Amino acid sequence: MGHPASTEKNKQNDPQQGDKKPLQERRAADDITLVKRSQNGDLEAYDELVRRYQERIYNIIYNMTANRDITDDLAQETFIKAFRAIKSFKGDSSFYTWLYRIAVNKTLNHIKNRKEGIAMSLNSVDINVENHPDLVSLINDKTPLREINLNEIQEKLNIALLKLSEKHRLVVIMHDVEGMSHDEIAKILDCNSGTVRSRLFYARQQLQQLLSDLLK
Amino acid sequence: MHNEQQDFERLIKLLSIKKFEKPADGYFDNFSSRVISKIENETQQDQESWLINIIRSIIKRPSYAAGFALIVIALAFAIMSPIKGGDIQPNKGFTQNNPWEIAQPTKSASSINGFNQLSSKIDETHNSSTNPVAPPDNKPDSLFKDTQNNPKIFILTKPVSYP
Repeated sequence: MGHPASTEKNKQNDPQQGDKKPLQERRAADDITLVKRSQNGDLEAYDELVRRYQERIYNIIYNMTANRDITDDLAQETFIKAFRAIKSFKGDSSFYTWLYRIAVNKTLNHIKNRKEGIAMSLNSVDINVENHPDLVSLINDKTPLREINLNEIQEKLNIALLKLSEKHRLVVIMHDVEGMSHDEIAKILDCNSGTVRSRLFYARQQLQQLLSDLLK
Repeated sequence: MHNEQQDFERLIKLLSIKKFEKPADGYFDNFSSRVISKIENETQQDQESWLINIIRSIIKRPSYAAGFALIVIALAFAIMSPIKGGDIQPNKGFTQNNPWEIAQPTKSASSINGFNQLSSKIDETHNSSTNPVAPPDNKPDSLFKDTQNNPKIFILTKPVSYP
């Protein structure tokens, strides 16, 4: 699964950034064409937009709720709501930012309205994660991670994330999991990047405390 | 920023596991078609008239039908009640200003009293030549005056004498 929303970190480290930018611009131009067709009721065009962003929208909702059934519903509702509101899309931001905002608001509303909380129902972890360099390095560092299986780590991680407040969870997921930049997050959340940074710092501190037994 | 990254380096590595949580294989193959079919269904539903929706909901839930029937009966009663009500006070009935005002029968006054009040009011106010009930402007003097009951009074005057 790709994470095309590039981070500032990725921009600095990625030598192919120069090649990526025109591709992103082309995609944005494509988006505008598809959006215009969708605004005229062309469902084929909208189908293409759904295919483009379905994974990213799914991921943000899933990472916020940690429940695959709720995610399925909310992801569909997001695209349905976006289609109904697409005539009001003026192109002030990219279509992706606009769509992402709908998904985030929908998810936050859902979490707020469920006073009893959301039970976890996790997707299975791709087996290839064990070869991921980040995890390999963590396990080789003689940490408690060596003795715990992957599913347990996943569960502990999700429990810790759910303990954060929504605004802090959202920022840490968007930045550290989805790989979005501070500015992108600020645009989506309609706040300044300083707020994003401070929320991110606080969220990481909290997570570090909550996961201290794994990070010793 | 760099220190910040170092401080949380292990945490960020751990969070990378989240990127590998995936839905079941093939989940995204038919996701868009599900979304599009839902949009099509909703659009079709919107186009159906509201009346069909009411009838459909009544058929689905009998309690709605009972509620609907109650509303109809209540409306019928509301319309019929001013016609059935018998004791309408003439001077307090349907007024010119508000013809829909429902007349309320008074507890003390009967309909006859009400009529009398009405006629006396007409006497007082309507005195035109076209109104047969109106009293004439100049009442002629009676030809048969009762002089016995009304004797003439004579006042005798005397010159005052001072001693």
